[in-house]
Amino acid sequence: MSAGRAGGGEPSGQIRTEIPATGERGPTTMISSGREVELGARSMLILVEGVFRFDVEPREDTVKTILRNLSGEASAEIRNVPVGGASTVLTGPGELTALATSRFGGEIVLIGADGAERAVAKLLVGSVCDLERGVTSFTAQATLL
Amino acid sequence: MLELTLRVGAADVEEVLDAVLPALPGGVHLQSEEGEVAELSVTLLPGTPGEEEVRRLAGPLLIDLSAAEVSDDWRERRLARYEPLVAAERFELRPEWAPPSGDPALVEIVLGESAAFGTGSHPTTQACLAALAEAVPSGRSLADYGCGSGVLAIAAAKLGFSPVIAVDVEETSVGAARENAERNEVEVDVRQLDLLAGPPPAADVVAVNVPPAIQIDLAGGVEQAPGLVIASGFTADDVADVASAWEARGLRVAEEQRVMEWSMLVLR
Repeated sequence: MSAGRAGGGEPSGQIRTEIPATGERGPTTMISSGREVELGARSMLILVEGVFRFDVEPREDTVKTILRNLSGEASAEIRNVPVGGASTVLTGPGELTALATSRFGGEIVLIGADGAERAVAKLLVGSVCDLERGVTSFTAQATLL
Repeated sequence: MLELTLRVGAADVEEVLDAVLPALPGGVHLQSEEGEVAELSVTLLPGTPGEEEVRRLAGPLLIDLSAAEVSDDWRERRLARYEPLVAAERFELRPEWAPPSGDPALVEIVLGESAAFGTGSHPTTQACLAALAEAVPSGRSLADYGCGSGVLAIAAAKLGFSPVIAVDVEETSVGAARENAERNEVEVDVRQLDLLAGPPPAADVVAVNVPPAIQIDLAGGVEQAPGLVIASGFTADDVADVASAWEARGLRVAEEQRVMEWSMLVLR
């Protein structure tokens, strides 16, 4: 297993780890990052060049998520994937239902012009809101499929 | 501490963010988007690139860039960005740290800082407040299901609904709603309850700003259908399902509103 950091072209604060194949699946890549974001600021959590960028914006009430489609496919969507234990969910317009300590599981899906869907990454996002310091700390992990 | 303001074409915002966000872990504030020009601000927190690097990253899409000293204290920066929040031309919602507008025509609701939903800035809260302002309070009780900070319950109590009950499953929300009711000197019976575990408390009017799956279960779970339901927390995609759930209890859609990506229903 190897981990590379910014010097290798990764964006600031993002780590790319190559995970070798196991008997059940081929080699894969895990991208992880950590951010501390002020209320109202939009920050990038995960960037997969040429595929997608996943941003968050902690708001007064919720966390707005923004998925930027960089793939050339017609569209990209993020869908809820249940994670164990208590978690928050994504509502219609891409808002997580809680600003407080939460975790969110999702799957990034690219959709072609013909409607064909291809899941490209699984996403796990954790957040902790620190009201004393006016920031929300995020950790994110994307496993490329 | 320095804050940079980047003026870019409104149509170029996403492209500029593509260029600058990977280098700015603390993110970018979208300050304004008026007409064809948008303003983005970047607080130069320790460890972030400087002015020249941000200028280089933004590239030729940058119309201009200015720098100004701002406070090191995030509370003061927040106050500098604060704009009074008026909902339905009737309510002034302000955090306790912000100064009052002093407009006597507005019903003031002061909210303490908490992680509970309901600062009043969310479009669904504003839509519910607008519907509440139109409802006749005299002699009617109100229940706020999924009360969060208690903002709807407090608004209802200030309008004259009585008694007012506020219910939430989250301890944080229940604590925040109790403190906010006290802060606003209104009587609200705040209860910690799982709305789906049993019949929720009955009332003449129900305000329910929760995700659609909970709306639908709630509609099926009330023992006695209320006379008026103000429902939000869902998008246009879910309106038919939410409306059907309440229609099965004998109510009819009297009003449907879209607020940004969200929907709000008034059912009688």
